[in-house]
Order: sequence, then structure tokens, then C-alpha cells
Amino acid sequence: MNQNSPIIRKVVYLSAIAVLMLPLYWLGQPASYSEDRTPEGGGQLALLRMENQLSQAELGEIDPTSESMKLATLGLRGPAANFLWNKAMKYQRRKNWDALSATVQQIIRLQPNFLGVWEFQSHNLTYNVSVDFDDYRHRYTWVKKGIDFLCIGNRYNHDEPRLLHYTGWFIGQKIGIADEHVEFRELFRNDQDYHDVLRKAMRDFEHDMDSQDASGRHNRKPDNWLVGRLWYLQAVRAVDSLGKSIRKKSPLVFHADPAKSRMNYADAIEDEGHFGEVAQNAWARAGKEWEVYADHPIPTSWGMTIKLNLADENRRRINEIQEHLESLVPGVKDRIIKRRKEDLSERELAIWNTPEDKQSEFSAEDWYTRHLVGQKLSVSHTQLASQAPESKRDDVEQIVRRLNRKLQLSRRVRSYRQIVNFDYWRTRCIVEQTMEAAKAREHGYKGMKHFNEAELELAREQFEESWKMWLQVIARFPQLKSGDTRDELLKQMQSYKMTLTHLGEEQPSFVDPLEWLDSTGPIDTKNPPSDMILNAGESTDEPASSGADDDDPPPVEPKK
Amino acid sequence: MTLDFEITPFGDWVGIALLSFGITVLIGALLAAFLSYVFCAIRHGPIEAFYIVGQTGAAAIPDFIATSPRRVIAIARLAAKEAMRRRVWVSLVVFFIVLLYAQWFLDQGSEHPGKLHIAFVMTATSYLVLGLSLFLSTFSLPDDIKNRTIYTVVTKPVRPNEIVMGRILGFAGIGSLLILVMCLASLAFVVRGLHHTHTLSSDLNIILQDIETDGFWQGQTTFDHHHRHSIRLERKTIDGESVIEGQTDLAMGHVHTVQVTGDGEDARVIISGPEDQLLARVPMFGELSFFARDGKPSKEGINVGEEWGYRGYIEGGSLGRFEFDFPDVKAKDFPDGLPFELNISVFRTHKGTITRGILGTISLVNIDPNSEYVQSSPIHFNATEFVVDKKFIPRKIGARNRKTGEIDEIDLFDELVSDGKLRVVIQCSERGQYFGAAQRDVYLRAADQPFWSNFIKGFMGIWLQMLIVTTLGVTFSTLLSGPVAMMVSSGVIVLGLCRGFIDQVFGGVLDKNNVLSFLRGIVMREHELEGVAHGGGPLESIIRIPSQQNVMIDLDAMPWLTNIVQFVDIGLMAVMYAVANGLPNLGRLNNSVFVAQGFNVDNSLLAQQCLTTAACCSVLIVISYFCLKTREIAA
Amino acid sequence: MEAATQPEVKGTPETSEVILETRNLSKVYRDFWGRQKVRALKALDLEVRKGEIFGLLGPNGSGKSTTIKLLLGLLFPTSGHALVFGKDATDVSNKERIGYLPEESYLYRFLNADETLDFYGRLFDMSAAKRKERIDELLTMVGLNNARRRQLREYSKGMTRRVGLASALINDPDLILLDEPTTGLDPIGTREMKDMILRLRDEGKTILMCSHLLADVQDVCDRIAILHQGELKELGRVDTLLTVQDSTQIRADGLSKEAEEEILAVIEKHGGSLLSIENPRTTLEELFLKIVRESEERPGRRASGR
Repeated sequence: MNQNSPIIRKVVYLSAIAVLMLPLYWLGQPASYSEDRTPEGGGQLALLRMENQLSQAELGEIDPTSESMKLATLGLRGPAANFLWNKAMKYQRRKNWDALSATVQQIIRLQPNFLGVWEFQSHNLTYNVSVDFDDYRHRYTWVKKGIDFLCIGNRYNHDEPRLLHYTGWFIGQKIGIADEHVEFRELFRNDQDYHDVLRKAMRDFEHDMDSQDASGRHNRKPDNWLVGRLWYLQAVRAVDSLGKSIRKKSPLVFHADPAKSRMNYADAIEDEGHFGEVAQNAWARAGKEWEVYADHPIPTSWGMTIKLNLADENRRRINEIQEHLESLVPGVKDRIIKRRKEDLSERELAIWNTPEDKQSEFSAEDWYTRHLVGQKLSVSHTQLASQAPESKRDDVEQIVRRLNRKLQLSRRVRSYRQIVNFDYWRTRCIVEQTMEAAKAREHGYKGMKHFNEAELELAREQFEESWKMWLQVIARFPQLKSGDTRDELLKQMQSYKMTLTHLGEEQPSFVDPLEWLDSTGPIDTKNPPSDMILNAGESTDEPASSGADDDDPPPVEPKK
Repeated sequence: MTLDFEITPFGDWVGIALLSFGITVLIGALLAAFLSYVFCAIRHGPIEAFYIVGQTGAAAIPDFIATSPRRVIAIARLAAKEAMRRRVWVSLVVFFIVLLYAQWFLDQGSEHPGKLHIAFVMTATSYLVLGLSLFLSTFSLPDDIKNRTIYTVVTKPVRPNEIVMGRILGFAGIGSLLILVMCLASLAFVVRGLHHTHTLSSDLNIILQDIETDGFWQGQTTFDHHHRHSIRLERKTIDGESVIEGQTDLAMGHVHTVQVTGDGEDARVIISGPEDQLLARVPMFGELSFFARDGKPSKEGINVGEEWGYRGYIEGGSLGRFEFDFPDVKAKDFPDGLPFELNISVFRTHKGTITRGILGTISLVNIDPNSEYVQSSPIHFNATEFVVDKKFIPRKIGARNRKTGEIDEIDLFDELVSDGKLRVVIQCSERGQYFGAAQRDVYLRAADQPFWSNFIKGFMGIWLQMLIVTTLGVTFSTLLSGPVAMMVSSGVIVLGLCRGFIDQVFGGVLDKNNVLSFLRGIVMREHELEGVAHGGGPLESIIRIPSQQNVMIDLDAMPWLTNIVQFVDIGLMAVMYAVANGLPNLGRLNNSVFVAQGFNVDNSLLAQQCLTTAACCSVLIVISYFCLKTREIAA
Repeated sequence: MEAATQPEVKGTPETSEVILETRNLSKVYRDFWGRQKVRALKALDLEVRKGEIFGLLGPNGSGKSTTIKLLLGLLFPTSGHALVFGKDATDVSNKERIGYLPEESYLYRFLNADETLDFYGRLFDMSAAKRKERIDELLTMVGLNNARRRQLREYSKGMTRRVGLASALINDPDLILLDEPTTGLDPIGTREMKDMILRLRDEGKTILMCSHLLADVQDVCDRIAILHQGELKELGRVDTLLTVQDSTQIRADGLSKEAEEEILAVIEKHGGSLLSIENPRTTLEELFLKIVRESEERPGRRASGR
């Protein structure tokens, strides 16, 4: 080095520092926000934080506890959280609830953006710890602790649909369905201190704690189902308008919950003895919301977005196309069926030709044979098309392709509808709004009440009134014979039978309801939907594809 | 409340403890003598070695006898000055900062904030003090040797034991000072931090009106400090004076007393601070035995499927019962009656009535079956889980006369207690439901000690821990350089704290080896462990972690490798086991569980802890004496 | 052993008590694995008697400090024995009568002079009154009375040295071991130190000092031992060692050249006014360098018994 070296060295160092500042600036520049508080830009780290939603919201909201704990672990957050987790598990085993709760609070301060921790531990507190207590008031306290915990989680993770949904779930389902739901619901209603807590947590919501939507039948006090629903709505909003992901949660179930909450609410107030207009209104609202749900785009597992009410529209289109197809190849279908019938054995033919009113004598084996024959006789559209005359072949094939696509869509929508028992609930909402159903329930409720108070005569009277009404309802809506209603009615039937037994009457004077309730067997076997036969055998016929045909319902794009 | 270990009376404990201590020391001394003989023999030949070992050993006695307090104190003062020079007060600053911001880290909505506060301050104190004493004690002597300042000391007529003891004394003095300051600050923090009051949610005029008309007022306090109480105010006559008074319900582990003084315009409400929160109950425990549904004794009750076998359960609506035998119930201790506290846990096999607790009965039974009154009429109660249920049984109590068959009112001390012994029988009345209890779940609240004295006793535990850590640090520093001594001592302390875990892992490792599995029996029986940890020893774990192997399955590696790994692990674990069990159980010097749960720290326990610590420290001092004595200071 | 036989030295009563004695003292430094690294001292035999100032001389690394450390029990001999007051060097009771000034003043720098001396006084189990008296006396002696409340870290090297000396003398020792007592001192300080050493000797104390500063040794020591590479090379009274035995030196004045020759003859015949006749003296430096040179040429032990 020459004599100038100290100066040169200093210059080199300074310029090196300056050069190193550039990437530092590039990396570390704080996020900038536009006027409406949406992040605009900033350094790479800030951008990454925003992208992965790790930023602690606005500057003023930084949690010193969490930050200092993170700092104190010197980057060993993972091991520290792991250590605390083990400790928490040990505390739980040893029923040291206070320590458990405190430890969980610490874990979460270390890993506030790790959603799994929030979900697991809130569930742990609400479901596992609470039932370890014998007194239902203590249980309620721990349910609240779990919900509180999630509220904190929502503060750390803004607009995280899963967490919001979870919160709604706990407020609704845990309080509303648990063994102690009667007590829980009452505690929740009157827990003004807790309402304040929730009010704070929900202050940014479109509908907050003080809105009409939160208050239930009981003196306009907040109802857990309705409050839960508001959280669901917030979760839905986060998905719909902010485009947040719900990760591995099923969108079908996710979007159903707001409406289901309304139904649960309606159900719950009836259980608590509120009938008439109040209940009917509740069901009406639920029905309306169910239709909103039906109209909501649902992403599916095969990459397409559907709406549940597409099925109705689709059904009509399919019928039209089918008719059109058959008119193009008149008589072909009948010919094929006729030819195939000739190959059937005698027994098969006999079974196939049995008129419907005699089918009740079928054995299980007969049913199975009939099913097989049905499969043999079913003619797929492709088979139809292959029989079309040369001149119309292209035309027909195009129609068949379109038809198959529509059928596939229809099948999928239907299977989705079945997952959420869509049609049952749709019917249920309608049914419950009828005068007959309301009366049936009211009498049933009173009957049960008398029954529990051992006023058997009164009980029988009420029960029988109830059955009368139910008969009318069922006559109009035979679908109710399955699902929840059936279980409820069976329970009522049991009490009714016991009432009769105690009264010394062996034979129930109302036989009919017993009969239809006792006649088990799925209702669908007798009236299979007409497209069932057509669909049989061709489910794997065509690959799933969404064509650009004009009259195809356009696949709904998820809103951004 | 869970107190997971037995407290033996000091008198019963001391004999056995001293004996086993003596045996251990004797074995240790012989082993040490033998090893040093072997070592010397290699260096100097067998005869010379005999002479050297004998002389060194013999020289220890006059050295210890000639220990001069003045020299020890001089070195202690020097050590203390050195500690001050190392700015130990910084730890106090840290402690105060921690206290200042503690509220952030404490679970605000906790049901028992008292427990959390106490546990927090005690943990903070022990971490800080133990860390600090470790640092001070391990670096001091090596630094002295490195700087050669020790030359000027050892060339004076100073014995190695004086150097060691002086240092321990000095650092322990500083540590004690810190603990004292922290203890007082903590006490203030806990008491101040938990103090609060409420106001009544209704207007006083309305309250007074209600009391005039209905004779009582039922209402709530305001919502402060994350909770509110409900309260019932009534007009009572106390000492001939009519006052309006009431006590709130229990919320967040405390109650308040509310009084309305004055009349009309001057009426004022006085609400006390939290009561019943910071307690030091002196419990009198009984001996628990379980009886199965057929009335036959059962060893530990029914297990209702809990991982934690702390409590045993009995079946309701059967002959199943708990019997607590109290050995020393005296009328003079309980002049009015027996203040029982129950903490019965409940297990339901069916819902039952959700809105109330499971019913049970308590009866007092005379252990003498030939007495006139064998048992009191059963006293019914509703089990309240996780809440201490206070049951006061008055002295006059109904019981059936064995001869006449009449139910008479008797004095329980006269008729049911024989020779100070009383049996308390607890049964569950509902079929299909279960009661669970452990030894410590039913007790007589014999007296209450002031909370502050118990708090100080709790800190005594930390103080004893600090003594052991300091002595340990100094001992290692006579042999090793500062950082190494620090690492080794912290390793040893961690081993001591993880004693249970190490025993479990050792049991697990032994379990895999058939030849040595008899050892496992010894290890497990020795410590009455709940189970065996899976996953193997250190080496095996090193393989498992990166290869992400499940601990429940056998190690997936070549058989020869597995064999080697497991063989080495047995050796390593044996060392860890020996070290962990050679130290006094530091965890058992932790009295915070008593303080936090509001129980008086048993004096007998404290005495045991003190004696254990003293024994441990003296052994360590002797060891460090020999280390320093046989060490070439200038090498 | 031949080399160890104490020469007949004038002025040192051979009957006086032997304070320090080493017999065949050897020290081998070993590394962690026990392998021999350095033979620091080889079979040293020495005796120091009461009232002597004995100097250990040698270049750096010759074993002087090792010897002192062995005598203090800071090191353990590999073989042989080091005896102080007739007892083993490691015996604690010796230390009551020893004062030691280490090579550098290894003192606690966060203490002040008062505290330092008080600390060492306590180590001798001295009563408070005695300590106070002694501290005042010593601080006056070393001239630090004005600085006694200042922390040692603020002291100059000379001051630290003096505190070191004071602390070595706190117990009024019979035997004083000084390791390089004059290093780092200015000429005045060195002079004072030498005077102090001589004064201590006059008080009847025995002093063993080691140094590589030859002038100091020459000035104060009664006897010296020269060590090189762990071996004893020379041992004896300073005046004896520095006398060239086989030559004579005559000093006279006022003589012409012829007269000188005459006088020589006359002296032989008549005995004239003879001013001095003696052996020429060499300097210690020359002796030292000669020994070192010879030792390096012919390694091996050459302790002369002069």
C-alpha cells in the first residue's frame, strides 16, 4: 500500500457503506399507505409482510408485549413456543387451568400470525377445558375464554376469514348446541359485561353488537346464534370483498353458516317456547338468507365456480335439449330399449314390469334386480347419437356434448346440494312458516311440558293436537319425513307413547303418524328423480369440460 | 389445589435423611480416595501414592479446624466488593423493569390473578437471582487465577476451604440482599397489583329503600378489573348495633365486604379491598384411604381415564367412599367446630342435573367401633369442582346412639374423637357419578398465618436454591475456567431441575435393553414415575430429530448402529441420572406452589429444605477444598 | 553432593539457621495429556540462611520464578523437595512468616491502599488495632500516606509496586521473597527499593530475590545463584564470585617507569609503601555473560563450589 492508503481506505469504506445502504433501503423501507389506508408500497420486507399478511396492522396497534417477547427470545421463537406448548400440555394434564390459560396467552404473543395456534388453543379452551368443570357457569366462563382468545386473534390477524368463522362457530354452535345450551344461551343473553367485550371486538363490523341483527327474541337481548352469524358474515365479507383465502375450509359449508345460524336461531326460540309470528318471521328470514346462499358463487374442487340454485334453471334447459335431441332421432331410443328388453330373462322382465303399487312386495333381491335392469335399459346420449342418421350426425353429436356437459354440471350441483342438505332446509324454512307447522310445534311443546310435569291427560291432548297438525304438514311436504324433523318427531312420539302407556291406553288413538314414522326406508327409492336412469352408466362417459356454448350457464367467476 | 408431594414430619425425616446422607458421603469419600489413589499411583508409584493421598486427606482436618472467621469474612467482603464491581445491581434494575411491565404479561382475565401474580414474581426472582449467582460464582475464582491476584492470597496463611467459603459467603450475601429487596418489592407488587375496590351498581337511596321494604337488597357491584360481584345487603345486629352489611360472592378468587354506615343523608358505602385472596392457610391433613363399591379397601380408587393419576375416584350410590383419618384433632384447637375445606373433583358418566353439583355426604366416624356413638348423621353437600368448598361442622352434631337407636345431639369432641383421632368419611350419593380426591384435597383449616410471612418463606426457597447454585458454581470454578465452569454448573442445574424427565428417559432407554431391564425396575420404583418416556437417549434423539422419526416406533437404522447408539445412550443416561440424582432436588426447594395456592409453607418442610441445603453445601465445600488444595495455582 | 556443599564464606555464620532449602528440586511442565513440555528446573540444591540476601540470577526462562513459586507452594515439585523453615513449602503455617512480592503487583484494583492492606492483614488473622497500626506504619514507610484512599487502578506503576511491598510486609515476615523487585521503577525508586532491602536485612530478615537486573543484585545481594535453562551454574558470595583469583592487582602513585621496576624489586626485597595489592575484579555482567556462553556451548551442569 502506498502512503495514501489510509485516505483511500476510508473512502473505500465510506463508499462500501453507501453501497450497502442501497439494498438495505430496498429491503427495509417501511410500508407506505395511500389515503384510504391501503398499502401502496415500501421496501421488500414490508411488501413481503403485507403479502403474507404478517404486518401488525397500523403502527399505533403494535403490541409491546408481543414485540418484547419476540425480541427477548432472540430469534428462537419457534423453540420457545414449542417449549411453552409442552408446558401448556402439562398444565392441562394436571388441570392447572390458570397456568394453562396464561401459557397459551404467552405462546400466542410469540406466534401471533400462526393461525393454527389460535384455532387449536381456542378450541382447546372452549371445548376441552370447559367440560372439565362440573359447574355449568364455570364451563361457560371457559367457553368465553376460548372466544375471547379468538377475538384477540382477530385483532392480530385482520380479516382472516377462518378465524372470523371460527369465532362465529364458537359463539353459535358451542353455546347453542352444547348439553348445557339452555343455560349457556341464557347466560350469554344476560352477560352484559361480555356483550361489552364483543361489542369492542365487533366495532368494525358492518352489523355490530347493537344492530337489530344481533338481538334475539328475549327482550331484544343479543342471541348467540345471531351474534355468531354476524361473525360469519364478516368472514364471508373478508372472502368476497377482500379476496382472502379460507384455505382448506370447504367453501360450501363456509358460506352456508350465516343462513344456518338463522335457522338455528329459529329452531332455538321454538325450543324455548316462542311460537307464532315471532318464530315464523325467524324462519322467513332464514329462508330468505338460504336463497341468498343459493345464489352465492361457490368455488368447487374441480376448478369451476357454481351456484346452488343453478340446478333449477339447469333442469329446465336439460329437458329442452333432451326433447330436442329425441326429436332429431325419433324413435331411436325406444328401438334400443326394445331390443335390450328382448335380451332380458323372464324374471327380470317380470320385475321390471311390476306396477308401482305392487312393488311394495319386493324383496331386497328384487329391488336389486330391478336396479340392474334399469341400468341395462338405460340409453346414454352417446349411444343415441351413434344411431343418428349420417346427415344429422354432426349436429346430434354437438347437442349430445352440450347435454352431457349440462348433465355433469347438474350432477355436481346436486351432489353439492346434498352435502348441505340444501333441499331439506329450503323446504323446512317454507314449512315452518306455515300456520299448521307453527301450531304443530306449539302443541308439541306444550305437550312435552305437560308430560314433564306429569300432567298426562293434558299432555295427550296437546300431543294429539300436534299430530293432527303434523299430518297436514307432512301431507303437504313429504320431504320432512327425513332429516332432523323426523328425529324430532320420533322423540315426541316416544313421549306420546309413554303418555299413553301411563294412561293405560295400549293402542294409540292416533295411528297414522306412528305408521309413517315407523315405515322406515329412504323416500327416494319410490320416486327416483327422472334423470337418474338417464344418467346411469354415463357418469364417466365424458370428460369434465366447460365449453363455450352460448346456452351453457356461464361459469361464475369468483368476485375479486 | 394440587400438592403433589408428601411432607413428612421433620422428626420422622431427619433420622433417615441423615443416615442416607452419611452412607452416601461415606461411599463417595471412599470412591474419591480410591480414584485419587489410582491416579497418584500412576504418577508416583503405589507406595508414594498411598502416602500422598493419606497426607492430603489427613491435612484436611486441621485445615478445617483452623478455619478463621476473620479470614473467611475478609474474603467474603472482597467477593462482595467484586460482585458490586460487576454491577449486580443491574439485575435489580431489570427486576424493577420487569415488575413495571409485568401487567402486560399476566393473563388479565385469569380466574385466580393472585396465583399468577405470585408465581410470576417468584419465577422472575429465581431466574434473575439464580442466573446472577451462577455468573458471579463461576467467574470469580478463575478470574482471580487468571489475573494472578490469587497469588497474593494463597501465599498468605489462607486455607483453601477459607477461600471457597469466603467466596460463597460473599456471593450469597449479595444474593441474599438482592432476594430481600426483590422479596419486598414483590410483596408490594402483589398486594398493590391485586388491590382494587368496586362501587355498587345501584344508587344508595334505592338500596336503602329496598332494605327498608324487603329487609335486604340484592344487586351487583360495578365491573372493575375484569370482573364484577353480586351481593346481598342485609340489616344485621352486631354487638347491639344495627348495621347494613354483606359479603360479595367469590369472583376471581376473592370477596369484598360491604358496609353501609350512617343514616339518611350521611349514609355511605364502604367496600373493602379484596379479601380471602392472599392467604396462608395452615392445613391439617388426614390420611386418605379408598374403598371400592363393595366396601372393600382399594389401593388408589378408580381411574376414570385421566392421564394424571393424582386423584382416585369412588363410585356414587355404592359403598365406595373416601376415608380421611385425622391424627390429631383437639378441642382446644377447634373450640367451635371443625372448619373443613373440600376440593372434591367430579366425574359424571351421565348428564344428571346440569344446573347443580353432584350430591355427597360427609360423616364423622369414631375409629373406636365400640363407642356409644359410632358416626354422626351424614351432612349433605354439593360438590363444587375446582373451587374450595368450605364446610364448617359445628361442635354439636346429631348422631345415632348405638344402644338406644335415638338420634341425640352430641359434642363431637366428646363422642366421636377418640385420642385425637377422627375419621371423616365422604361418599357420593348419586348413582353413576363419581367423586375424585387426593390426599391433599380434604383438610382442616387449623389456622391462618399472615400472608407476608408465608411470602417470605416462599422466598426462603429461592434463597436456598441460590445458596446451592452459588456453592456449586464456586466448586466447579476451583477446577475449571470461568465459562466452562458456568456451562458445567448450568448443565448440572438443568439436570437437577429435569430430574423426573431424566429418570423417565433413563427408564425408557433401559426398557429397550433386556439385559439391563432389571435396572429399569429399580429406577422406576425408586421414583414412582408415571410412565416411561419414549424416543430414547441423547444419541438416539440426535438421529431421530433430523430424520423425523416418530418416537413411538423403534429406531429405523441399521441394527448394528441401533445397538451402538443404544449402548452409548445407556452410558450417557447413567451419567445424567447419577448427576441429576446426586444433587438435591432444586425443584423441591421451590415453595411457590404453596404460596400461590394460599397454603402456609410447612415449617417442618422448611427445616428439611434448610438441612438438605446445608448438607449439600458442606459436601460441595469439602469437594472444592480438595480441588483447590491439589491444584497448582500457578500452572 | 559436591556442588551443594556450602562454601566457607566469611561473614555468614554457617551455624545460623537454614531458612530455605531445596533438595534436588525439579519441575517439569506438562501439557494437558501429561506429555512433558518443558523441564523448567533441574535438580536444584540451595540453602539460604537466616539474615542473608540471596539473589537468584538468570536470563528470562531460566527457572527463577519457578523456583520462587515452588518455594511458595504455588507449584508442586515434580521431584525433590522445597523446604521453608524446615517444613514442606506447601505447609500453611509457613505462610505466617513469609512475605511475597510478586513479579508484577497482582492486586485487587478495585480496592484502595488502605483496603488492600487491611484485607491482607485480615488474612493473617490480625486484630483490628494491630492492623491499623501496621497499615499506618507501612504506608508511611512506602510513602503512600497521601494516596491511601485512592483506588489502586489509579496508581502509577511505582505506587502499585510500593503497595505491593507494603502488603508483602504486613505480617512483619521473617523471610521475604522478592520477584524482580525493581522492574518498572525509576532510578530513584530503584534506589529506595535497594535501601529498603538492605534495611530489612539489617532488621534480621532473610531475603530471597530474583532478578535479571545485574546491577541491583550486585549492589544488595550477599550471595547469588546463577541459573540458566533450569540449571544452577554458579553459586556463591558476590565478592568471591567477582574476584579473579589467579591474578593480583597493585595500586601505587608517584612512580616513574624505572621506579616501578625498581619498586617491584624493592618490594620483593624491602617492602616499600605498597598501596594495594589485590586480585583484579571482573563485573557481574562479564561473569554472567561468560557463564551463559559457556553453558550454551557445553550444555550440562557446571555449578562451581567457589
